[in-house]
Amino acid sequence: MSLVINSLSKHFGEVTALNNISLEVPQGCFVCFLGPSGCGKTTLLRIIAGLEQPDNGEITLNNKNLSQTHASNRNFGVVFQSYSLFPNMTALTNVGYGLRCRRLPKPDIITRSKEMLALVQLQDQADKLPEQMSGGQQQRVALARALAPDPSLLLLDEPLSALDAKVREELRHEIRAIQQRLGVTTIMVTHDQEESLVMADLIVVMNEGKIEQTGTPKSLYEHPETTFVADFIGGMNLLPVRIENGAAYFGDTPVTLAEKTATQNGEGKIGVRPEALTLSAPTNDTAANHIPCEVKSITYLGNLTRVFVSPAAHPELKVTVELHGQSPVPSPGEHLALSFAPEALRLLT
Amino acid sequence: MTTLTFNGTDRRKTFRLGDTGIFLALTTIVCIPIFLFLVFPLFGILVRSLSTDDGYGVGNFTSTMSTLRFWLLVRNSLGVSFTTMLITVPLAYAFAYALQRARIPFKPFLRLAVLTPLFAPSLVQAQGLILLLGRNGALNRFLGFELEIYGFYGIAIANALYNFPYAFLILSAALAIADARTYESAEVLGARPWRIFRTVTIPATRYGLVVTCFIVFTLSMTDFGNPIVIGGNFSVLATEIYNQVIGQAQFALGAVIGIVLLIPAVLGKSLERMVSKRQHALVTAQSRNLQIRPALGRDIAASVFAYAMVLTVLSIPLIVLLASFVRLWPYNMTLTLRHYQFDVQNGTAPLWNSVYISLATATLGVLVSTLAAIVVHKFRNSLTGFVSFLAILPAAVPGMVLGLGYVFFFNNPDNPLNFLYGSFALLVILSVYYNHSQAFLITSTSLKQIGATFDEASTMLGGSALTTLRRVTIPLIWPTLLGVWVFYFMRTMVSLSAIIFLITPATQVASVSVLQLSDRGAINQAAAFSVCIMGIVIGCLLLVRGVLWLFGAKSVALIR
Repeated sequence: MSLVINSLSKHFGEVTALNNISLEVPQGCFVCFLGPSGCGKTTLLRIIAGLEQPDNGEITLNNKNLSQTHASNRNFGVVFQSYSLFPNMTALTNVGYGLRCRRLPKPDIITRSKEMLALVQLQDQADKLPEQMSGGQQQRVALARALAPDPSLLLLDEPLSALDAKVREELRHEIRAIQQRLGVTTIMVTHDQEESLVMADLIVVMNEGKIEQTGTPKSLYEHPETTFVADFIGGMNLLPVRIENGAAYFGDTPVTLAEKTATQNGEGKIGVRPEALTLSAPTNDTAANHIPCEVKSITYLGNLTRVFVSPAAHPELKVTVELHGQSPVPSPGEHLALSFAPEALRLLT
Repeated sequence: MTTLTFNGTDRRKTFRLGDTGIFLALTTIVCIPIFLFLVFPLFGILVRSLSTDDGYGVGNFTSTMSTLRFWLLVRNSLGVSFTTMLITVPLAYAFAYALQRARIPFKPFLRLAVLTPLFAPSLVQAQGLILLLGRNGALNRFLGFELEIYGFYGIAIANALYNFPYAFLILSAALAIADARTYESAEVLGARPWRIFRTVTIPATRYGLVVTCFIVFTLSMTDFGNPIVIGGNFSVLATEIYNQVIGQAQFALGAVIGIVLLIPAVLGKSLERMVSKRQHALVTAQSRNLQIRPALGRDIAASVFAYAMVLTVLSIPLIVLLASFVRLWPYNMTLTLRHYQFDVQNGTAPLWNSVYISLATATLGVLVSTLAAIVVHKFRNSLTGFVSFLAILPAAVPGMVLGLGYVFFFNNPDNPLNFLYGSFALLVILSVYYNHSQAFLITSTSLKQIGATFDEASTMLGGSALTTLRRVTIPLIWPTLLGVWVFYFMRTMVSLSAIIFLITPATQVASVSVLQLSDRGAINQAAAFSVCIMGIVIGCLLLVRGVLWLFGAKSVALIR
């Protein structure tokens, strides 16, 4: 009982929008396609919806191939970024649209539409036209409309990006709550990593038409596999290292990792989160996981302070350190040492 | 807590005509009539012009072009059209500039007043000019001038007045788009108003200017009403077709001149489209609208000019109105209503014929052009470009040429559609396809503005293409469709050149009555007929404007 995407490719002229995408979405799961604009996430969603045709590959839902099923017969619900409520219909009529297309008896349509409006807490707005509602309300109606025909799959195309910050935050939790209550399999496209961390069971990080990494929010944050994922989710300091005989070195400083180090000699990168770094008094150059550095600048953000430092071995780098609570704040120009625990380090490709 | 399980059953029919099937059916419905009522008649002219006594050949062309008269007509037509262009374009530009870039009292009135020539057949301009400047015109008669208006200058002035609103509408739109930032930059750099006008305003509107020149030139080349009334002994190509075909039954000669007239029209239209494609992107999302600040000298000058211009344009319908109410212009100026008794010819029958034809044309025209626009914009596929080309093809065909094509094609006893010849139905069909391109473009613009997301939303909710049309698209664009309806009604009411070859005594229309009455010297009755045409058009505009206003759709342009 799941949606399976197999070796999907799509080109627009010279541009490769999707390059051999394979993916499985389990039943009842909330999946986020996350990536920068132009990474192919929206194209993938539109192909799943049936609004675009793939060049190669196939999509199956519960083992049924969808390629011959027209978008209007797939029974998928879609919420678009631009609300796209029909401006000539009230909230109630908008919600009932899919049911009218299915030629349900009129009383059933009205009952069901009212239920769905109640689900998104807009029962009192039933007779309003879209132009009389706020953006957040319109998007709630759009959600109710998509859910009314009981879709087997709910597709959300950047549903929150047109809304202002406060409404966006509210709707995140509301959409997630409704999704869990209905148990409907959901795919959401977003470029907002915070949104995907808050809402998704499973995040598919995409870049340049390919899937970089798939995993739960926690596993992606804690164990990014590529520099792209490390950088895109949560921000990570990337330190260039040299691998020699199974040991890693940053400049002359030996770096100890809790994970297995690559055995092949050469260049590599380790990633470390800003909150996993601490600043301490300088020690001699060769102490493991202690990198001599100079404080460049400081940004005070209330609950935390960001300190930007340059390592002596790579003065061109700008490493971010986040200090919380009452930690002593250094001054620019101070010479200190960056230190970190072996467990906090990730060797990236 | 409400139950969230849902037990509704999908009751859509299991067999449904797919969207591809619908597309093919609609494309056929759109294309077959375009071929029958546009492409084939045009071919009819070509075939007729090429058929000589000994088979097909260019004999008609060579014999026509070897006469001195033909080249004289070409010279006359070109000369008059060029003169018209030189008069109209600068005046219309100045008028549009005054309205868009100066502070003038009662702008909405000025804007509407200057469009009045569109409410009457083109020949009314000539009619009014004769009443004003003719041998028995107001100026010669009452002020002692001795003007001779018949001929070259009469046609040029009448055409200039008739083309003025067309030119104004385009130039006004071009001048309405202005990026305040460029003007501010010019000012900050110390440019004086004249320099700003030359270096900022003119370059920003140059495409609009070029397009206007093409349109005015082509309209003058192909206009028939003004030269036939005020031309006197001065003939042009458009009047020559009429004289050859109606007067002397020289069909082959008429066909040759028809083909010749098609050349500037097609050239003008192609150039216009080429130029308009480059017009975009002058204004970006960051542009700010220009705020017109008061400048006393400029505002006074602009006001004086604009009011003088409006007075000139309005003088024509006003003098026609006056002439319709006096006993015998200009000898007996006592007021009377007797010319409105229409005790001449067929009485009021031609007027009612015009109204019926226009109502039928408007209704059929909206259906036909909307269907074409929907096929092109909602069912994109490999045939789209071709259908779109067919839909805008009529824009390049002068009314006289299309009318003549209908004569050749439908008056042929071998044509199964021959039964249409001489009927009202054919006049309606001709009017529908003659105005097809503009109606198509108006609806297309409206469809494009709706965007694709509503279609996609509807599709994903299970709606077929037809459901989307019925429940979403049509309800959203109905004000535009009503605008198209008015456009068709207005154009058909005032149309003369397209239908003149097709009318019979039984299918006489008002605009042709005006022509025949003027021809016979019954100028007062002719004026009364013209006033009735204008009255009906204005009444229809007001009615539809009222309906749109009631439904809150105020921004729909009705006059095009």
